[in-house]
Amino acid sequence: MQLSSVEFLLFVALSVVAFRLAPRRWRPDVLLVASYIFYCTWNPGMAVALLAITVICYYAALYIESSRGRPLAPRLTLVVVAALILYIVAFKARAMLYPGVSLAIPLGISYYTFRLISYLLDVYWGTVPAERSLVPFAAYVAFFPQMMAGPIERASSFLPQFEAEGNPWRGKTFEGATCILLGFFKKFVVADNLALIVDYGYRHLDSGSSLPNILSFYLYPLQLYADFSGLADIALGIGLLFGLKGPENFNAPFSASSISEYWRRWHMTLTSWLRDYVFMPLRMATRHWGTAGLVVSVVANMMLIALWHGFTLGFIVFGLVNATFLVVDVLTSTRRQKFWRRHPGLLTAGTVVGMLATYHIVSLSETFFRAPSFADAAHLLDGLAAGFGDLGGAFAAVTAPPNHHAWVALPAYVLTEIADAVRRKKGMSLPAGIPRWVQWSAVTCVAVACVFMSLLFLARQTGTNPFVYANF
Amino acid sequence: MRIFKDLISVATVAVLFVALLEGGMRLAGVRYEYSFFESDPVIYTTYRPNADGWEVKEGENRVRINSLGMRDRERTIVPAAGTTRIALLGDSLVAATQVPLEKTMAQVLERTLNNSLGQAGQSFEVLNFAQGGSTLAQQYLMLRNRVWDFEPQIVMVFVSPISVPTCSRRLDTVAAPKPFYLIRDGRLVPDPRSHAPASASEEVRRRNGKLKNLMNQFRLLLLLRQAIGEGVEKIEKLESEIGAIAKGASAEAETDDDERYVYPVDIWFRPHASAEVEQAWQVAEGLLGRIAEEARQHGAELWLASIGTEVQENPDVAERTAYLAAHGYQEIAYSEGRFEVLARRESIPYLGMSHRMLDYAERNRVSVRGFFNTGPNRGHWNEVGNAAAAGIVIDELLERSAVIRRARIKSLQAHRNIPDR
Repeated sequence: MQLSSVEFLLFVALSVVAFRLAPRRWRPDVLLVASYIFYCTWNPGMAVALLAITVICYYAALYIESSRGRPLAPRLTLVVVAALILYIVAFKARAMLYPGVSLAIPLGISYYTFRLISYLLDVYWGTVPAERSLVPFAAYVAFFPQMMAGPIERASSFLPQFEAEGNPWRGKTFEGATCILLGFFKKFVVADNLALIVDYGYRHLDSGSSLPNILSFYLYPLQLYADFSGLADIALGIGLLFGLKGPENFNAPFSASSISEYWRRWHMTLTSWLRDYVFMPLRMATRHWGTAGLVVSVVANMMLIALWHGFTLGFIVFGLVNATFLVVDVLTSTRRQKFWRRHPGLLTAGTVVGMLATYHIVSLSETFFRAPSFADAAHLLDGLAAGFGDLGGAFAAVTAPPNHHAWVALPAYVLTEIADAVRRKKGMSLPAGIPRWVQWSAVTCVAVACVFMSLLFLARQTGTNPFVYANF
Repeated sequence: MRIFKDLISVATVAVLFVALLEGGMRLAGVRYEYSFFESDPVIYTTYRPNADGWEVKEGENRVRINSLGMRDRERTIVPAAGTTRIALLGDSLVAATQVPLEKTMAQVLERTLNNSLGQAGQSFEVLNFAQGGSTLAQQYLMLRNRVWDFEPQIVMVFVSPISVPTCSRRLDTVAAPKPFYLIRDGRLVPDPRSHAPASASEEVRRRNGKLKNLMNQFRLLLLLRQAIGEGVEKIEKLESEIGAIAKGASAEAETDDDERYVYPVDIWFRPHASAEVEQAWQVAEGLLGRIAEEARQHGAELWLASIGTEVQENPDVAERTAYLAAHGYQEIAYSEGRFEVLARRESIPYLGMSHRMLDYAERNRVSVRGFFNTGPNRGHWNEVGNAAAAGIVIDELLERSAVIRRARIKSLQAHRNIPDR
């Protein structure tokens, strides 16, 4: 089932209605059934695998909890976590070993295995109790809005929401619908239009002008962000329709003035997951090594982020570029802070320069993320300094069909940034105490926009670009 | 009272929001299929006079239909003295709504003829009566009921791969109302199941036309129209799938079989043992015979030209060969050969265009079909294809048309200052 289809919207609507009408104790069951129906429309065989893994982890967690303090608990944790890692690595490595062969990789494998690993480790460490009931646990693992692109939500924040009292349906429905609309806007207006320009650049690396290379280099991070955050917004929005609030995955990443700050703002659920389950344990284990230990932890953490996307040379270089700059950032952090304390007047200028430098680092690393091959990435970077030659001709070529309408993505991107800023500051729900006509106007606009979106999906005759992060 | 005020406020905001969506769609360049057609009591569906909109499926082109319902510039019904008129009949390939009017085959043809043979007291007009989706039956009715009013000296009928399947109610895949004919006792007769749309008064037609033109001005309304169309199609597909499952048959297998059977390219490339296809061919030949008879009665020179499929004009040898091999096509000139035999039988000049178009594409290393949103060598003729087609037609007319020969002699005489006897 395609995310941007009327079928999917109808499926969501029906699931939400069934969920809301069901008595509270049956809601996890409804959600579980809906999630597995969604998963089966993609690949029934993989749904069986998901169910099997879920059941194994459920019982393993119960056993780990009951045998805490005994030697069996760490051994069992280690075995199950290792098996989960092997499971994800096997699928990702298979894709790398047979690049030309179309192999089915379980939908959302990167997301649900990480959810299960964190759950097992949390149970082992005693930070969360093992879930007693299989159905809510299975619904957490298979929660369909988060299957496509996360976020990687922890059991400790998801499961208690089933038990939460009250019925904040109206507020959350408005907020959810708004998030979904914003997500689709990011995808179809911003990301897909930017993709046209970026793809044009990659198709014209030898045009003799730097313009296509420059456009691809600078616009790809915006495209990726709009695409990924759009998908995250849709997942968040659908979750809210069920009354389940998921974690935010982004926090204005391009406002970061250093690469380490950028990684604290980008794909936050993955980076916080790795911080808690990889970086911190590793840092503790290497704390006696001093700076070398820090460097090892940073590099290992970053390389895991890179390899989480897949085992390709492009992702490895993406990881290495980021790791290099992260190490430089971490090692110079104290000195830079001292410098800013001594020169507070330069702080604003320094922040702006930091933002620009960070954006360039991100663009550089994501060139390897996007390029079809390492050679293409090198080619694009090489072409950045090729000169502009016939700038008028190059500009006319890049603005010719099919790119002629694509430039609307840039003002649209600014709008999404404004919407996100408002959301971060005030949320998407209707503030209390506003006049009734404003409330109803807002609801009407969202309803009209939802109908509009459905019509767009229905009228579309050709397929759309898939979401980039739906591949992971 | 307060509720009333609230309602007005909400309605105002909703209207403003809809206007904002309309503006957003315009800004983003979102366009949907425009409406250019209207019902006609004789031809069933024709271009709507003065229809104005955009072709967006292939390329992106502003289309204006003239006041006489033609994809053409404004024309007078009665020709000016000394004007030689050529009427073109065909489907969307000749109507060429995908390219600007001045770059259509008809316009290029007219310009070239006037530039090479035109002089004081002698001019050429190429009238484009072709319409998107027009069938041979509609072209015949168009010729009989409209074209002769314009007094053309030459009529060119362009057949294409849809010409034969659309002669059969069963093989035709497009749901739009259209006339069908049958062969009964060796004679071509109208299919009694065909029911022409009711005749509307001029006032109603004008009002409907205005409404449709107004609809063409709003992207949201076009979106709504397309969404409803697509939605109905999806529901019908779902119904047929459910029906097939209920019958215990595989819906997929049934669809595949149907597609193989009606596939226009398949019918175009090879003879079919199927009675349905053979009947369609007989109807097509019968209609062309009627068209030839009409031309004879009106003393016009009739030409039959056949336009091939996209693969026949694809200059990429590897792609072409792979396609033909994949579908098992060995000999691909079946339809063109059959049309040529028919033309010989009716004593009318025949022009097979596909190999000439391919030759042009290969020689100049260009794609004669395809647009930015279709990819190369896909769909209809692009500007290059229209220009190439015009060139091919001109060459043939100059060489073989008696009407053009006379005009040429006249032109030569004028150039040499020889008084006309």
